[in-house]
Amino acid sequence: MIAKIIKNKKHIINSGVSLTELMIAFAIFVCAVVPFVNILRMSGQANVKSIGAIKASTLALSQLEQLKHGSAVIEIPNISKVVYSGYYALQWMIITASPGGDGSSWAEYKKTIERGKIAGYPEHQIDIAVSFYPVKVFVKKSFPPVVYDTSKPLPPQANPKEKPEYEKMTARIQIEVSVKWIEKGDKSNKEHEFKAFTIVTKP
Amino acid sequence: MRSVNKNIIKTEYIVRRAFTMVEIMIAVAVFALLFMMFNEFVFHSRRQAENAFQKSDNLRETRLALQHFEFDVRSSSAITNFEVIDGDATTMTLKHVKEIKSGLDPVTSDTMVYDYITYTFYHKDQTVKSKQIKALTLAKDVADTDPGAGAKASDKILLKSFEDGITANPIGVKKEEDFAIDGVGIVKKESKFFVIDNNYYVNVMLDDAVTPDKKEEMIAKATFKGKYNGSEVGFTDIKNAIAVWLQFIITDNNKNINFFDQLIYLRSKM
Repeated sequence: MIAKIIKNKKHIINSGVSLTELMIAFAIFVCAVVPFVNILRMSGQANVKSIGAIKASTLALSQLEQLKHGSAVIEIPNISKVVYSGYYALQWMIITASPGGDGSSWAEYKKTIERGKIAGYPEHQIDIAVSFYPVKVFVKKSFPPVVYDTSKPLPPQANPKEKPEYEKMTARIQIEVSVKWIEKGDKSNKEHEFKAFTIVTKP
Repeated sequence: MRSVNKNIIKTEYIVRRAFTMVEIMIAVAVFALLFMMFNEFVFHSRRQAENAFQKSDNLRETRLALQHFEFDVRSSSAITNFEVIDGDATTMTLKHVKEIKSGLDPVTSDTMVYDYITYTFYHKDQTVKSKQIKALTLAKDVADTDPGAGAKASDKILLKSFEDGITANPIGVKKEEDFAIDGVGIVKKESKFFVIDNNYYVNVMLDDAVTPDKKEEMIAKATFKGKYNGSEVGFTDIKNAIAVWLQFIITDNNKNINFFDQLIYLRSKM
């Protein structure tokens, strides 16, 4: 008698990929692609920054232009209106900023146009500074009509020998316009700055 | 009797060539879920990048056009004509130094050769010199002689109209836009250029005590044939003009809004 013992041996051949393999492959793919996506995002951010900078330069140059050539109107009650332009308009702004108007010392005129106050530029802030060049704040001196008179004692408030240097300082006015902005969507709230500078000389 | 024990091994190969339907469905579901998350991440960044590129292209193109305008104003010796033709166009002619030739000036032995640059900003569609020009287009012309009153430019288009067609022309000038200002509210600005005289008082403009309405009135008073609340308030002699003010609202097919506000003084008047 032939006893036949038939052993069934099953071989299962998986020729496809399992779900686990698929998910691992996808995870690797994601890891490989994410840096490229970040590059894309970075380039976008860089462009947004350049937009902010272009806007800031437009604002700064326009403001500088207005200050350089604009006029200042001086209205004193019972006296007719006086209009100064260029250097004299800027000098008037320094006079109004100085202690007591035409007081004892020259000061720096400062003005900030805050964020949200400029139409079309909600992220930008303008800081303006107008002062004599190169020293921003110094004691105002008055000189005697005669430059040097040996018959009289020198006035205590001014040494005539200093006059040329003093006059040089009051003959030039510097304008600094600084535009600051925070990029829209920048979570770090990093402030960027664009500065424009010029000197106006007494005519 | 001999017993024969024969082990017959029957090998059965079961070939599973791919996933089961359940596996595929799970894989698709997981993939779809991940793709949805990933898609937003990828395409949002891509859209943002495209939008930013568009914005900066928009700004650069406009800036370049306005720089041409700015350069021409700065290098001009006078504004010979400025007209705002209601509902039609704003046009301006600049007397511009083309070159300096030697020999004709008795004092300096030089002579100035001028050309005349005309800028026109169109308020409505029209045909000029057999060219069809859309509303809100800024055009430039150069001529060796003064074209006189009413001249309109059409040769070179500096800024196109946004109404020109979004697909063909993604960047263009917008007529007006509302801008929010803190403490003031909504301020309506419109695209235009205008001429001002010496009555632009910078100290008054920087004074916080002066209301925006008063500031607008002051600008109108400094403007050539300026109007404030319907009445004429500006100066009328074009020889007193010292600066040109550019205000342009630029937009694109992504509806990015950029407002250009620039005041340019004529060097000849300084």
